[in-house]
Amino acid sequence: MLELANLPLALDGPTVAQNAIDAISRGSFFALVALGVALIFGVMQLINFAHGELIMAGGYAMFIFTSEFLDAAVWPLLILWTLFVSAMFALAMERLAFRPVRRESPTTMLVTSFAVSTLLVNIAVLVWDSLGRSVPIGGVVLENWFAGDVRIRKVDVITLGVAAFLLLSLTFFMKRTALGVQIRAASEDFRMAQFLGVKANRVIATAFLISGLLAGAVALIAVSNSGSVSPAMGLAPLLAGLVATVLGGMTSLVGAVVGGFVLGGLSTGLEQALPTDLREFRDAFVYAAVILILLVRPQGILPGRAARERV
Amino acid sequence: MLVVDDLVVRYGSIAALQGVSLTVEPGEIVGVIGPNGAGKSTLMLAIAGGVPAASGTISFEGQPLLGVAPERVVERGISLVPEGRHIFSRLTVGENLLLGATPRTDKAEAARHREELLDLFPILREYLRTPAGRLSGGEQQMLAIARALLAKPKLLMLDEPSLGLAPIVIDRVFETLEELKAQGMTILLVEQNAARTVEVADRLYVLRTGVIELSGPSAELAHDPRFEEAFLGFA
Amino acid sequence: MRDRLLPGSVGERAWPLLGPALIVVALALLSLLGSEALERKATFMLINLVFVVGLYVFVGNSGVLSFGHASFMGLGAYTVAILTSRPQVKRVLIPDAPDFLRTANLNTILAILLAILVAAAFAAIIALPLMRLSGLAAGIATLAVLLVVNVVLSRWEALTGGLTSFSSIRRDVGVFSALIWALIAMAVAYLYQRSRFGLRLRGTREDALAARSLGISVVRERSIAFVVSGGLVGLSGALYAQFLGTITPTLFFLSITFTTIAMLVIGGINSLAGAVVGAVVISGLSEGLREVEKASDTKNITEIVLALILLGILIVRPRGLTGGREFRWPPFGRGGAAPSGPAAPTPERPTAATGQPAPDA
Repeated sequence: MLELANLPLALDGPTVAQNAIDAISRGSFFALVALGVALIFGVMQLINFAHGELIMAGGYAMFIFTSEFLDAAVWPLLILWTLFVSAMFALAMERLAFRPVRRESPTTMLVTSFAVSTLLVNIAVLVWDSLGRSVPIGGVVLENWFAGDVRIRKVDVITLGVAAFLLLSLTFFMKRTALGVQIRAASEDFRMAQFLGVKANRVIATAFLISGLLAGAVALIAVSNSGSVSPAMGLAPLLAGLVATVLGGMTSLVGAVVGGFVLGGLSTGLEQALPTDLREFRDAFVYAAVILILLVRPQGILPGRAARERV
Repeated sequence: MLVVDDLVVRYGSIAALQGVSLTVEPGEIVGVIGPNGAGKSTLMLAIAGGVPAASGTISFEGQPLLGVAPERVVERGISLVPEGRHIFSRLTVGENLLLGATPRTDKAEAARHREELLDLFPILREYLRTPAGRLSGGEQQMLAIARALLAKPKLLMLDEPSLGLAPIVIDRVFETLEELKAQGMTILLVEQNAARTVEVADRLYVLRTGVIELSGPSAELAHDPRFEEAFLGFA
Repeated sequence: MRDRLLPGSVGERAWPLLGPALIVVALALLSLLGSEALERKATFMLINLVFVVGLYVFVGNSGVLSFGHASFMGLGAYTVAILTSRPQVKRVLIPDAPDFLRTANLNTILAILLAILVAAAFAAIIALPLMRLSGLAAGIATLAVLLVVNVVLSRWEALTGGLTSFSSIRRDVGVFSALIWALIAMAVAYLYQRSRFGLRLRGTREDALAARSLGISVVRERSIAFVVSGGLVGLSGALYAQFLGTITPTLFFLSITFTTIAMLVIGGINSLAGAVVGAVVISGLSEGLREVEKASDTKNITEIVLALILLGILIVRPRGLTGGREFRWPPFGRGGAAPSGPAAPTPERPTAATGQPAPDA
């Protein structure tokens, strides 16, 4: 069973402020996954189901770091190492699996991503077996601050900080650098971008690099929360991220972020609003609500151009 | 400068171009006119590297061009303004122009060039930070032309630049082409609007169902009865 | 599509069905020569085949991907489980279920037909909203449906027993009955694609604008295919429940979704031949690898090798083993059987920018 609640955090305080913090924290987590998915979809029409395994790769990078090399106390090095491993997996994935099928139909690319995903999960199972391994990340992230009755978990603050930093840097990169503008142009109209001299390989590889970095950040957040890694750890975030991406209109990066926050809000809100005996059906209500939103806004909340059916 | 020889392009079992030959010399405006579905856009795309050819050759400045990827074609000095303009509607006008300069390495010179082009199309200067999707059709066409020129092409290819524009805007587009020609730009122009193309082009090709039916200097062709017949057939 | 509209001999016209049917019958009969274990593998392959053929009816004809079909399989499986298990078993497993379900003890055929009906009815209900969405959004919305159904199957303990397995289901499916149902599923898929509904839907796949200008309603045609498809996949679930005897909600979730989509794409997404070839080849490979895995005692080597083979096939034959074409008559000579020769040409439109990544250096 996959449960959204298990992703970033559990709840206790019933106050509005507490819920808001939880919704934002969960939302920013989803937003980071959705961004990684939307970026790749934008430049190459690929729904990358293997994005979850980039998160998993980052998770195991943390496991290896803390168990084999160093202690989590050397955290700046741990962060760099995790981001590096996820990014390298992303680049390798692009080069080895997706580049050869880039000109094929989106369905063919999609199934390629299933295969990559299965491959990586099973390699992880082979090496570390399918059960989780614990990652001694240290107690600091599990501590709380209190503001009156509102409990603020340090890990939430870290999540928000990381998310905000990444969103700002990504915005800067996309808006202020030539390569960033090229990626945005390629997401809107790949052929035209090529006619202007934009290099397909470079744009796509850069998009994968960024999506790998985002996945690494997601791994850092997820493992700090749960204190463990498992081969299937990428799946639940991926599904939530995919749904958030669709809510956001598939190729719009701003939309992906908005979609992530909407999903975070829905999931936190329904948790509070549903009567106790229906609470275990919460995820069913979340996804049903997503379908309803799509009915009202079939192109997503902020439609991206390539997602519109070319009719 | 540009030599297309016996070019054949197929979409599945349909031959869109069935052995088309055409040349463009430096400094001239060459017009290709013909009705809808004649294969004009396909010809442009084949030159720009957008569709593969089944047979035939294309060379530019003596070097083969066929099979070269679109992003390399621009680097070789051919810019395409495709049908429907294809500006990036979510990007600002300024960002669209920045993309036009992608193949250039002389960034300082490119910035100067951009200022010159903004003088040529002053309306764009006002909208530099506006999403290009908010521009009118005519403004978008100006943007598409300016964007293509920023690559500093030796050959500018325009596909139906007057399509969907108001007559007064069409005048402006053709004036621009005259200005560019005066500056020595070589232009390959594809149009359905035969009357306007005759006025601006040095030489003309009439393309119909994938075959060149007629060709020659505009001045001569304009008085050729066969041209008038063909011309009236689709004007 | 043109092939089917041209007149031809009966053999020539029926070959897209007869060809795959012969392969399936031959494999099923061959399995009878082997051990009981081989028979079970063949039965499982046939059940997969029913799923993939059902999936093909919607995905192949409409060009819209669905991640939600495993939910039809789950509904079919649980319907059969609830309707055919002995009341004594159900008193323990689902004591809180309504009386008429707890006491129901239907015969196999009737239960299977009801399972098909339940799945088709569910498909019809969700088609109303989903088919209005554009292709891509519809695909992901079906993923949301899968997630919803999975939560409901896992949590509605009164009806399904929740995450505990629903065991002691009457085991009433062997290689023969699976073969017959598989042939029926293939015949339904073939008749559908030859019907005016199928032709219209294929028209919308090739050129939605043109189809619309001919007065074809994309929404209606997609919905019809979705319901037929949902019913067939419901059938595969019904068979699966009676084959295994024990089911849990996780059987009808992402793993089967990925596997069946992969089978369809590997075979060739646009033809019945592709659906059948994909199901047969991947099931065969997977079962073969599992034997090697057992013999060599290396865990999950099956999944790893299978994933690598999938990647290889996708790179070498990205349009699937059949290239999305039907088998032709005669099967040899004159272009040969479908799995050889170049992939079918895809119509490209001479517009400058379609948003699709284009070839590069």
